[in-house]
Amino acid sequence: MYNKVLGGALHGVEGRLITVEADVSEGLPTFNMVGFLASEVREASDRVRTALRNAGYLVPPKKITVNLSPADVRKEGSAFDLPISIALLTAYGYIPEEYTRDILMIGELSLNGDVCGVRGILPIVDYAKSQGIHKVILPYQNRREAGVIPDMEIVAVQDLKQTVEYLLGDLTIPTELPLQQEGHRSLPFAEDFTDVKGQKLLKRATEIAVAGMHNILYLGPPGAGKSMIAKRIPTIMPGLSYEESLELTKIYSVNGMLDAEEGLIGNRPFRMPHHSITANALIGGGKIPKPGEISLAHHGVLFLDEFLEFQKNVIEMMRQPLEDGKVTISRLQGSYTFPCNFMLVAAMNPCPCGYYPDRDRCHCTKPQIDRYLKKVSQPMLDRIDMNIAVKRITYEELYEERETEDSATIRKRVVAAHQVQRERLMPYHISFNSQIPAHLLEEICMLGEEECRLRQEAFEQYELTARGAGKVLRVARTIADLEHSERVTCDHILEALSYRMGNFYQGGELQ
Amino acid sequence: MMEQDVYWYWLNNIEGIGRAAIRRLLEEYEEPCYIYEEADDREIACLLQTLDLSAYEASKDSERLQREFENLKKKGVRFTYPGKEDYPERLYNIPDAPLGMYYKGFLPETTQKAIAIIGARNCSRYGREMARFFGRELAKCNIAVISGLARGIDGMGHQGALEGNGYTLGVLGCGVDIVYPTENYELFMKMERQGGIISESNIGIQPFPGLFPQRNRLIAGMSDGILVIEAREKSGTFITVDQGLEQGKEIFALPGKLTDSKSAGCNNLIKMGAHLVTEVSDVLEVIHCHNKEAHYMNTIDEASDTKRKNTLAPNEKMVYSCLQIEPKYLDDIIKEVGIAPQDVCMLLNQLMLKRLIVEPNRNYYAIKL
Repeated sequence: MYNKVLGGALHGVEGRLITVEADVSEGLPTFNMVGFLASEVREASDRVRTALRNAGYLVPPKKITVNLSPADVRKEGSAFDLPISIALLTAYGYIPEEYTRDILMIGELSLNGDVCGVRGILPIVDYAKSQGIHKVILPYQNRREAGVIPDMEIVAVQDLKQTVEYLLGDLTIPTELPLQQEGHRSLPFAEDFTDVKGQKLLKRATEIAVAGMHNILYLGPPGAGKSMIAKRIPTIMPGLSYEESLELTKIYSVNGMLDAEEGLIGNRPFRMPHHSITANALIGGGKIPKPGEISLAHHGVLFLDEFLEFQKNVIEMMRQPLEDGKVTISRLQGSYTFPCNFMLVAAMNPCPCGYYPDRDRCHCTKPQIDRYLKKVSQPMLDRIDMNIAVKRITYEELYEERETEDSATIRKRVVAAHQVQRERLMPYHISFNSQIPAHLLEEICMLGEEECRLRQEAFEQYELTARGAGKVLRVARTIADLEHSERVTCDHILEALSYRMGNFYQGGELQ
Repeated sequence: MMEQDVYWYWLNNIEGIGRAAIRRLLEEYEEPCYIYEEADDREIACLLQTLDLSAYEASKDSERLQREFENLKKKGVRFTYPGKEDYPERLYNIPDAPLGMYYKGFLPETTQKAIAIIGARNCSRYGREMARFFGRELAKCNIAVISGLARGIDGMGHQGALEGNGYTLGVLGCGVDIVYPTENYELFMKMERQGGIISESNIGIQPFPGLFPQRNRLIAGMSDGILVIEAREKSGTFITVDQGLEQGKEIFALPGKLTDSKSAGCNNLIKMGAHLVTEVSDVLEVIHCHNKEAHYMNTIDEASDTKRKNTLAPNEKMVYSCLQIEPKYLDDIIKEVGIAPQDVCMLLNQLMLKRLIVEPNRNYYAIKL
């Protein structure tokens, strides 16, 4: 007897449908599996046979052949156990063939017949839907994750017996109502901007950076509050849209990082990898490439604390993804593209000891500082729009009783600025000021005569490069947007000059 | 027979023979050529008991000496010794005067007054700017500025003198062909053209801690007065000051805050009787160099262009007046002025464009001098 059911596999962050065929015929009792299988898929034969027996289904010794097609795609993961066992049971005649048609099945089996959760459910289910499949049987643990896809009947099962009974119609399993068909939920953040006392420059610059999605670099001594403010950046970002949320949740699903009780991810991610991170972990990679930290920070913030302590090659690898918003990883088995549209927030010390320019504590010499700062390359710095210095706050500032703005207030302004940008930049197919290409800057910033003169003056006095001047204009555009100003005025440009990414030490002069 | 110069060159470059030994030899034989040509090795060994005779003999290789001396000339390095016409007259008067010196550029006129500007390597912007100011204004009064071409105060003193189009002499603790510290490369090159660089060490000799006290004695010896800008309580600067006192030079010191460890040494000097300096004429008077024709700025106030300040808009003035010579962090300015951060940023950059203030470090601002 021959039968086939539908299973699913992952390719990067995209799902694929796999047909699982089973054939049972007379002959020498064997269990053959074919179809370009990874070893964990091959091992399914033992798991399936044992699980079937323990679930109470007799499998008489016969010649069994299982094929996973298309045969030219490498199959990985343990999600094929369930479809294989169902295909077998159908082939043995336990389940009528028509009962299994057009149902996607995903799940790993344990030896006693329980169905265990797997990673990467969401992309597979999403893809299946696009292929016209409307019903999926999947592990109970993964039910919420799949529930975010509309028009999909979710059958969450706990063991093999339940599955068979469901297919035979002997048991009804209440389908989980799709949880979040639209919109998103925002968990309340534990942190808030009210916690940050003093540091007005830091807060202002951070707000501008978020408003235009500008990458920003903080320069300051240890304990100045660089990490503190970075952790609060997600709290002033607008919530995720459904599409953004879905994209992000897929990435987390593939990496197996979703909470069983959590459906769509509601909050923008904040990723803060340690500086010992390898290139593969940051960019994505591995034998079977998995998304790295830059993809986990998709639509959110990637915070690199101690920027200069990262291995230089690791940092430099971010150049292309920063530009493109996606990264393509090529391996022997194929190439995988992961989205990584993130805002880079980096923090570093101004000198090896960390206390420059406090000359009472810092005794670093100029060559030492130069050597230290050279660890990051110019092309990398070119991709960062804003740079500000941070200083430790004093005791009075810390305990001064003063109203500080909360995240919600700041977020309102940021949301408004994002809206303005989206509308203005729509014709150019970009959404944020930080993405404005150089040739469109003039047109979008709408500089008057006076502003042009100021720009020229600043260009000469601050020894800006062409690229540097462009960055100042982009930031000025965002400042204007925060103030709902149609045009970029002199005041905006002048303020933006304070956040420019220039020499850390003007004219190379050490204090 | 070789040139007189080469004999002196030889005498200064024998391994294991220092100044004291050379002096003893000169007392005995008067001229280096007699030592070279006539003195018996055994007599010399007798005179200098610790002498390694084989090294001494090896040094008497006239071909090599000629070649080295030619090489010196080729590199534009001149060699001088007591009795030669370009030997600085001032040095005859100091104890343990150098017996051979190498220099690039040219040496100061004997009649020209000279002031050494010295201080900490690790100094504040206040110190740097003061060194530069005094260097510049003294140079305008036709006073030679002498210093050690080190990091910090020394370099800024030279820098100021160059800006004032005056003469300045750098005294090194290594060969004159070695730029140490390397960040002074540009300054070094300018000084070769506009002033001079001198050292007691032969070319190719790397900086070495033991050489610096000797260099300091030359800095003191080449000048009429020593101006200490910033020095901590225990500072190498005081070697120069002690040598200067021994040589009978005038000592000047710039006062600093009591709480500032970088000025503690200066304040101590004042307590012990150094001349307190608050303006350029304080120095000029003591060394009797009041030149009525010289156009120089006497005080910092004159230099900082206070007149232009009066042309500023009220809010610009408000921001400007809370700035000082020490760089101040942007947030502290915001707090002090009490207006929105964006306005402070804007005003500061406006002042930057008017060239009234500078940003020595990221987001730290100071008035320009």
